[in-house]
Amino acid sequence: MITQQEMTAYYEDIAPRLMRFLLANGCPHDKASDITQETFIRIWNMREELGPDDSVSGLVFRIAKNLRIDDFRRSSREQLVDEYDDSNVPTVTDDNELERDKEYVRGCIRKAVSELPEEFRICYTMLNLGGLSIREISQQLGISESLVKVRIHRAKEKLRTALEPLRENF
Amino acid sequence: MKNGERGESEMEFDFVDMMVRDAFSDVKAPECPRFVETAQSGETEKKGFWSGVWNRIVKGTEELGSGIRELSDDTLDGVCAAGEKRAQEQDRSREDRDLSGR
Repeated sequence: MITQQEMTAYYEDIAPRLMRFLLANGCPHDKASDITQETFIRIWNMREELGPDDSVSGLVFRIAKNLRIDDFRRSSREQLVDEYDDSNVPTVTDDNELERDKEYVRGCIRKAVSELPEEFRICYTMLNLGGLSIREISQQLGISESLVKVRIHRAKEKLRTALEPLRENF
Repeated sequence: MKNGERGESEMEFDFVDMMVRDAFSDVKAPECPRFVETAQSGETEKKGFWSGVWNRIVKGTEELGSGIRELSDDTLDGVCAAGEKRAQEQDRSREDRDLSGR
């Protein structure tokens, strides 16, 4: 049984991580917000069934994944949005050059993440943006922990190559 | 547990991870839903639904009861009326017999 205070604390901790994970995996911002709120409302409604050993963050990501799939099925015409394509990477034209530089680099990093192969990207973003453990990721995806580690390692190799030139500007 | 603590302990944390986290650091969660109010409104809806069902049962029972009462009253009235009519007819036939006997 989760109290209202505990639930709010879980939200403050997990919701930003879930948002980052969803955005990094092609979910548009408004839908990511809806899915995040709906996920926590569902967990609140099933709070009496939760035991002290249940991983709330694991449950959050599982429900969010199902909601994302449901949403995707509902809108069959919808395509995964590449929010970080070249047109969205800002160009340096403003007076506040330093801030614009940072924003440009951030755009490039997001684009590099979005271009990772899906299986690498999901594992890597679950760990680094979602804050899940290797064990939780393996349970979420139904694959072995060693395979999770391999995928994360490969994702990082690809990102390292892509981000190395930007490192100086970071 | 805060963002990334577990990830850092299990895998080597380097500039790649730092850059990726920074790139998404401006992403904020939407406003926290009002959990209690959501649950209460759910309870209210549930209560509303069940009280609606109960009211319908009570109303239905009352309507059925009054219908039975009306039917009974009508039936009784009918029985009484028929009884009166029959009694009058019997009286009339008795009078006729008496008259013809005289």
